[in-house]
Amino acid sequence: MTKMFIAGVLALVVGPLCVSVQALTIEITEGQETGMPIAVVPFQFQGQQRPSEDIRQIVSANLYRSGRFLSLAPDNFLRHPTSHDQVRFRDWRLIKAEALVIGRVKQVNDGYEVSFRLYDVYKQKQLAGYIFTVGSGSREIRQIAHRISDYIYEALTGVPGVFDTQIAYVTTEGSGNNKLYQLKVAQSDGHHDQTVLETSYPVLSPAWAPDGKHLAYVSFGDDKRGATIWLQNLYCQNCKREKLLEERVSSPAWSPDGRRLAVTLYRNGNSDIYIIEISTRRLRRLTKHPGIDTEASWSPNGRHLVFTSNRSGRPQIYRISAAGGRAERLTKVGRENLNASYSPDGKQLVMVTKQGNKYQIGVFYVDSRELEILTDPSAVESPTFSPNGAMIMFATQKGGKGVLVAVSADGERQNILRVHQGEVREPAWSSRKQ
Amino acid sequence: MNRAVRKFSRPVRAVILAVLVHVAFGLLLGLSLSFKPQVIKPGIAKPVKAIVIDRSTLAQEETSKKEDEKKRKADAEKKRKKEAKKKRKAEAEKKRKKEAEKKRKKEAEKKRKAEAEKKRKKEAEKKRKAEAEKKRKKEAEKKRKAEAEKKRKKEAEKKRKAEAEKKRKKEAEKKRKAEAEKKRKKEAEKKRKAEAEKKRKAEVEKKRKAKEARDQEKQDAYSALNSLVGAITGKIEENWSDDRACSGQEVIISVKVNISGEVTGVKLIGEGGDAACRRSAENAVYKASPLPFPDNPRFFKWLDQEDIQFKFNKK
Amino acid sequence: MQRIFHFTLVLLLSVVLVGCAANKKKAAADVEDSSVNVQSDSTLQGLSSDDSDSGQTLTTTDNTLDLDDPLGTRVIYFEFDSNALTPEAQRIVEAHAEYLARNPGMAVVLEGHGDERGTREYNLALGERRANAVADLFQMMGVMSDAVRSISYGEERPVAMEHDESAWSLNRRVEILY
Repeated sequence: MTKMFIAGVLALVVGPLCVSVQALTIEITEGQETGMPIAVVPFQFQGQQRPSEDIRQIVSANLYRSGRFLSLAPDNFLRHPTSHDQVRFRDWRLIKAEALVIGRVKQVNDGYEVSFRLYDVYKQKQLAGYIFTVGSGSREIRQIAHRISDYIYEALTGVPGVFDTQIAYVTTEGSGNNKLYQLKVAQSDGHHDQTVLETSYPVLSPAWAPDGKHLAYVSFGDDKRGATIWLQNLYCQNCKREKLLEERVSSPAWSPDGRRLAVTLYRNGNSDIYIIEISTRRLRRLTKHPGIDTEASWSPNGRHLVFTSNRSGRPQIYRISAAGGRAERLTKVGRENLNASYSPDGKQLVMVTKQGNKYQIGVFYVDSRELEILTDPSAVESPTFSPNGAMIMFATQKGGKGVLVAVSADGERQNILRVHQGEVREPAWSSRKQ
Repeated sequence: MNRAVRKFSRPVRAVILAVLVHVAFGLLLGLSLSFKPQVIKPGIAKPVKAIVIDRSTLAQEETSKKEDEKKRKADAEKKRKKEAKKKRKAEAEKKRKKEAEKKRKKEAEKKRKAEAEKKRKKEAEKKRKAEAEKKRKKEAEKKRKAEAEKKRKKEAEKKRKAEAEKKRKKEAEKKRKAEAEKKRKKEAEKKRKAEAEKKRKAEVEKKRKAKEARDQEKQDAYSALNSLVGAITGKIEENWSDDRACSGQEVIISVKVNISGEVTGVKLIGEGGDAACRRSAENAVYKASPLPFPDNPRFFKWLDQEDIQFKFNKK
Repeated sequence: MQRIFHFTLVLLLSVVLVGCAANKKKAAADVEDSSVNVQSDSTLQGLSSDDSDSGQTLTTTDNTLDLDDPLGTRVIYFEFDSNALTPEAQRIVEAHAEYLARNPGMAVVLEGHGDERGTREYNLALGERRANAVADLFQMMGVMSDAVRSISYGEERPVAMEHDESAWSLNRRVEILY
């Protein structure tokens, strides 16, 4: 009797240890980074005059360029559905498309009616569907394609898209004393650029106001006085551009509320950061150091500015309260760090960093103070975050020519923007949607 | 189980026996009431007018009686005849006779009375004798009876002893039998217990073996699955296209598969990951279907119990 | 000595080139700034520019050539990321300072430049400091401050287009322009 009891107790204790197996848990720590496979089916066209732009192609290219999607080739599509009832999800599972976009373009009066639907293939669910009316102009049609791309991007990633945004940049043509500078504004993929300014003087540092309507930039006057800042309203027909100050000033940075600019003033042989109230032109000095202080940039909450200073010998990134006070050095790694600007969520800075002999784009995490190198060493300049923080655009040299590169914020996917004749530099990304 | 039944049967058996006994007695009682038995009592004989006579007298008597009878009868006949004749005469005579009769009657009466007295005396004597005889008989009887009784008693005693002896023997026999029976039963019981124990042990052993086999099978099933973990992980990773959606997040997905490894159910566990991260993980699982899976049907019943959990965590 | 010879040679050549180019440039100088087409919808409109940005040529006026005369040197060079005057540079600057001090009517423009490495704004500030280094020395040597104007072009006006140290070293300069 006792024997059995003991055996029973032992079995209870030892049994579970010997034979029990919990649910199998497998850790998956990495995937493909190819991006979500998405099938964008050629849009159906109804009408006589086809639109001048291929919406499907633009959407596909946008999504691919963002680094988050893998646009599948239409040749592999079993069917080309153009309406809801034509969709067979099995067709899309077969080619492992995770998302599906179908659409229609219908010619109407003096333009087109464009509609699309986005599906989650494995859940067999429609995620988005919209219908737009646009004119027939190529620019508008491209813009609708960008807007559609944004809807798709946001529905699938949870992050707002930045395809229907504008970028400003500087192009140069010619060389030496024949050089011609153009300040341009274009769609996010470089299409439909418009020239804001054409001059034989250097143009640099374009900066978008938060309202997406004004641009500030630096150019040189005929008066041989050196660099000065101009403000221009792009949406005002008859407005002239205005000079910010009558003295040498450069490196404009708009405050998040659009009322002030942080600038670099050259006074008494010293370059320092000042904050200027645009409406009153009142100046407030922020840095007082004899070294070079320039390239100020505001934090998204308007409380801090980061700037470049060589007060410790070589250029490094410092942070100062917008109210003034002591500047704190942020970057400790790298021989040089310059041209820092915040991500839209305020958690990171993108900057130019010099680790060895060459300059690279780095992402600096404000909390952990860690610096992550994003690009291979090359001549890089003026990096800027996209308005959704998912991409970084910067200028570099490729094949001896200046080009703009858009890279996903983790550095994985790089895309060269359409290169004009001549060279491209100084990108600035507007957050305002059209 | 057997043990349990046996445990319970003893009191039950006792109860049953008791009931039976009661019923038996009842029946007996009933039966006994249903007919009147002959009750034989040693009764006291009715006093009989007994005359003490001896046998020869008795025979003489008998014969004389018989002759008297005969005579009487003849006389009676004669008388009758005479009567008849007489009657006629009788009438006259009657008177006379009546008177004579009266007289005769008186005489007869007297005679009769004397006779009667004599008879009575005789009778009384007879009676006395008879009484004495009776008494003697009675005594003899009594003696005889006593003797008989004694004999009977002896006999009875003998019988009783014999009976007792018989009974004792019977009892002894019964006891012996009972003992034997008890022993036999005990033996049988012991045997039965041993058998039952043997059987039980065999059962336990069988169960243990079966459990062992089952456990082994379960372990094999999980081993088989574990050996495929690399292949499963590879296939999921291959199909996790938008892993960037899960940067710094963790999503746990519980997956049910059928025996061919086809994903039949996908469930999110916990609150981790935003919508895009969850979608990318779920799609990785859907696209990876069918997963590498042990295809032995014996294993499937174990593996079917629990789901495979995938913890998607891109650093 | 050797060095000065090289520099003056280069200066000679560039003067010749500039002279030739100047002719061509004159023809191109009439390039007007164009305004952008106004769109019929409410998107980008009114992108116009100011007249003050018509083409300008960059010329040097005084072509005094004297190989031995520091005054003949109109460019001084700097080390990387530095606005410190080398002894050589100092010598040249001092010569010009003396000249200016003796000729109060003369005005001079100091143009600061940097090489293409680093960022444009930083180089703009660096060029400014280099020009100021010269201006400070001028002032110390008695030159009136209103006779001197400094401006910086940062890396925007290089003299050498290659992407190597020999080009860069040529671009890290202050030009003294009368």
